Amino acid sequence: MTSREPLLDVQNLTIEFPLSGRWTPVVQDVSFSIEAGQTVGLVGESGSGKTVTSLALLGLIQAQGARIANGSIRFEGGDLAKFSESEFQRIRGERIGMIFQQPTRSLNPAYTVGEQIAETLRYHRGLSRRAAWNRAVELLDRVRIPQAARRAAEYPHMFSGGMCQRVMIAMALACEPVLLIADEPTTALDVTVQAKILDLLRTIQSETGISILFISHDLAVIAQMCAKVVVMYAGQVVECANAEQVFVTPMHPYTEGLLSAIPRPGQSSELVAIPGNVPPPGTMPTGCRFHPRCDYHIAGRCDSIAPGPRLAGAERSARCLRIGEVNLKGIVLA
Amino acid sequence: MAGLAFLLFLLVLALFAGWIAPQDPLAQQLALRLKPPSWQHWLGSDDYGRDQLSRLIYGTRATFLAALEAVAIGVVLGVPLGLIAGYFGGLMDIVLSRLMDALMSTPALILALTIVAVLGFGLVNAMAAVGIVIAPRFFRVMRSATQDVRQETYIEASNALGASTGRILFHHVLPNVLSPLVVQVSVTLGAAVNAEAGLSFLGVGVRIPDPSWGSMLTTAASNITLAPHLVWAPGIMIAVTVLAFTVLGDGLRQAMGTRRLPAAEEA
Amino acid sequence: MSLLEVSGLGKTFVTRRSLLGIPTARVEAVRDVSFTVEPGETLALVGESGTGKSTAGRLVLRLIEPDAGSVRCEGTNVLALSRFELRAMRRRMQMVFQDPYSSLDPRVPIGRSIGEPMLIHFGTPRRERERKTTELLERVGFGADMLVRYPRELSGGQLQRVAIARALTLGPRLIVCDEPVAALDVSVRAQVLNLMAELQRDLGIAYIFISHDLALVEVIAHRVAVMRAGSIVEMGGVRDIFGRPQHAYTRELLAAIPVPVPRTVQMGARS
Repeated sequence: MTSREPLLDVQNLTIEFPLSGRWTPVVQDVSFSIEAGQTVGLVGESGSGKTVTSLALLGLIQAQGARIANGSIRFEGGDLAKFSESEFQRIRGERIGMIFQQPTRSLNPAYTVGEQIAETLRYHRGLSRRAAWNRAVELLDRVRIPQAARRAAEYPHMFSGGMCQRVMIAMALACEPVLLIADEPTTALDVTVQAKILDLLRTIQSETGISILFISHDLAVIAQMCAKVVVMYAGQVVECANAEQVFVTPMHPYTEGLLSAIPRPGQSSELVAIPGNVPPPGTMPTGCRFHPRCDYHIAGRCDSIAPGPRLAGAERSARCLRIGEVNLKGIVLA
Repeated sequence: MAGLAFLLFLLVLALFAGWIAPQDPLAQQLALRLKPPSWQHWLGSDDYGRDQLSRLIYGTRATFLAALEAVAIGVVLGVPLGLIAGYFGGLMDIVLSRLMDALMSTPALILALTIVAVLGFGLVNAMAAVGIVIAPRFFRVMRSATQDVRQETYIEASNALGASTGRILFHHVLPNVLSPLVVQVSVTLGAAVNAEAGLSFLGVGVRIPDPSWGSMLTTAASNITLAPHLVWAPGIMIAVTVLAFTVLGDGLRQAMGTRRLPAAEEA
Repeated sequence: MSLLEVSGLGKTFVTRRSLLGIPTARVEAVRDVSFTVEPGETLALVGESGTGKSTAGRLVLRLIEPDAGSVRCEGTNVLALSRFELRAMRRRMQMVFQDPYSSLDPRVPIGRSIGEPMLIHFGTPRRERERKTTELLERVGFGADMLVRYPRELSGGQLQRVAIARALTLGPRLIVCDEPVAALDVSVRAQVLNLMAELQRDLGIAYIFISHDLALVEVIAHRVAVMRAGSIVEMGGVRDIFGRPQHAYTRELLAAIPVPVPRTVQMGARS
């Protein structure tokens, strides 16, 4: 148990959106932490709240009309949950960088790539035009864009999806932030390009010691990148543990379901699905949110008591009443 | 919904003018010409001694019919052509678009006057001219909406299932482009009211002595030194009616607008 | 006789025209593509984005007109059919699309969407249509209450199952599936895929399964055709392609698939 404070510490975060005229929680009681130099994976499907959570870290949900109703986000001595817009502007890009799912749409088509990176540097670091441009070229080189000097003068439409994502990474890292939030960064990319981008991220992490919050619905990608995994379902964290624990010995039936849904070569039986659907915000079932779809739910317990996150070992937790009672299947190692 | 309420009120006026209006709008009382508002004539009388209020109420009917006629002609011309141009694209689209561009680039009132000169005077012809002039608006809206819907997967799916083009256009495209059309109709009705007023003001619209707001303005203008009060009633009515239509259009646009739930749904 | 024989299929798109409309840049989306599909089997067309696999699927159904090649379905030359005959051919070959949220007309209740093909092709009267539609809905796991619901009320997985029901209406022998589960949550995909497998077993339907997800293809396909830049670079049985890939591109693709095993475990297992 380390006594060093985590880089980012989210506690009991609850985010509400105005839906049908009422404040409805879309993310509820979410807690997790990221240590310095660590990659944490945030896994979930649609309706899990993972993207909303990540946007809240940078104060980007207020623009959509949402609010943080409860909880804290401790980062470098301050509480992001209470930051004003001007305080956020000082940390966006500077201390926390972010890359998104659609790299080709994240860049402004009217400016050259080098110009966009240089702008961040001039704004945050006060560099001169020349110094900022040179640094931009350096960064493009760092993310392995060939002929960086020439390509910096090109416009985004000349770049493929994978290349655009590299540019986004360069931009996000320009001011040397301590945390990078990556929201489904490779979901829209081809598999060969994805492999290269993931490799790049791992290299950068080992070189700079940056922490990464990696958000994805793809467990295979999460397995490749993350030391710690946070599984979200219907707005809550249902499991939080290190990668090996989550994959080999999961503690929550939803995690087990996700793992068994991964197609396995040579499997002769049917593919496994989790029956039912994710409940939309505001229509949560009583008791455990997952119980209607759970193979292990017990009538009378799981449908009336809403489990909080319960310890399931050192530094791991799961939101299930039946921890220890059921033997869940993880991935089978060859 | 204030717009809707006001328009309904006008509709009632138009339909029941005969019962509501206190006096015969055509009855002349030359002894009482150009009188300011009084108990006998709530809004005063015009240069022939006719009751302003009654003329205003009867004028509602003329104005509404005129606006409806113009918009109907605009819709009949613009909507099918817009659907065709948007759906088929290519040469058809190019030709039709250029045609509509030409129509749109001509100053509306000039074009209307020209058409009236050819067809003959009278409100019906004048509003038909207006209809031709505003058709491009509907064409544009329909074309762009159709192009959007054209890209949707369910159109491709209908094709794959063997539906004929006619069926696709009528059953699948049209119902999905109705909402921008409705909004456009509402706003254009306002513009048509304005156009009627303009044309009648110029003397090309309504036949004298039938009342319409535009012709009332003509009378008011020529008697402005003797009876300035005549301007107010028709002027305000026109302005407020156009505003009401526009507000209604805005409201409709908002009501029909977003169908998707907010970003909160996709986490 | 094979159910479907495709030979030398080609399609070029114009990407840019000069002011006068003369094409100045073209892209050959599909080039010399040939394959066969046997009754009741699943052929996967795999490749990354822009490799022409979606276009190839649409060419087979003649949703896009091919520039070259031939398509024979149960012996009939699809490309030579008149528009009228093509409509009849549509009964034999159908398609399920990638985006479940837009493949159904949002203004039409589910029941009518499914019944529409019957109306178009056979003029089936309303009561009969309803009866058959209810049957089809049951086949894909829904009750009769689904008849009156609207697409916006359903989730992606449910919509895709409805789309399958609609594709089944005319009794096709072949269904082209364009990334049918790519837009669905991982935990829901099996609902759709298992249904497709069941239909194949029970009704003998063949699939052309277009996908970029190789891990998935390995589990559900019988034969695989790997596409790159508009052409097929390798084709064979699924075990051959995945176990003994011949072409360099195939090997590159396979190597890039992320393994769902944490790195610490992988490394630990090796030591």
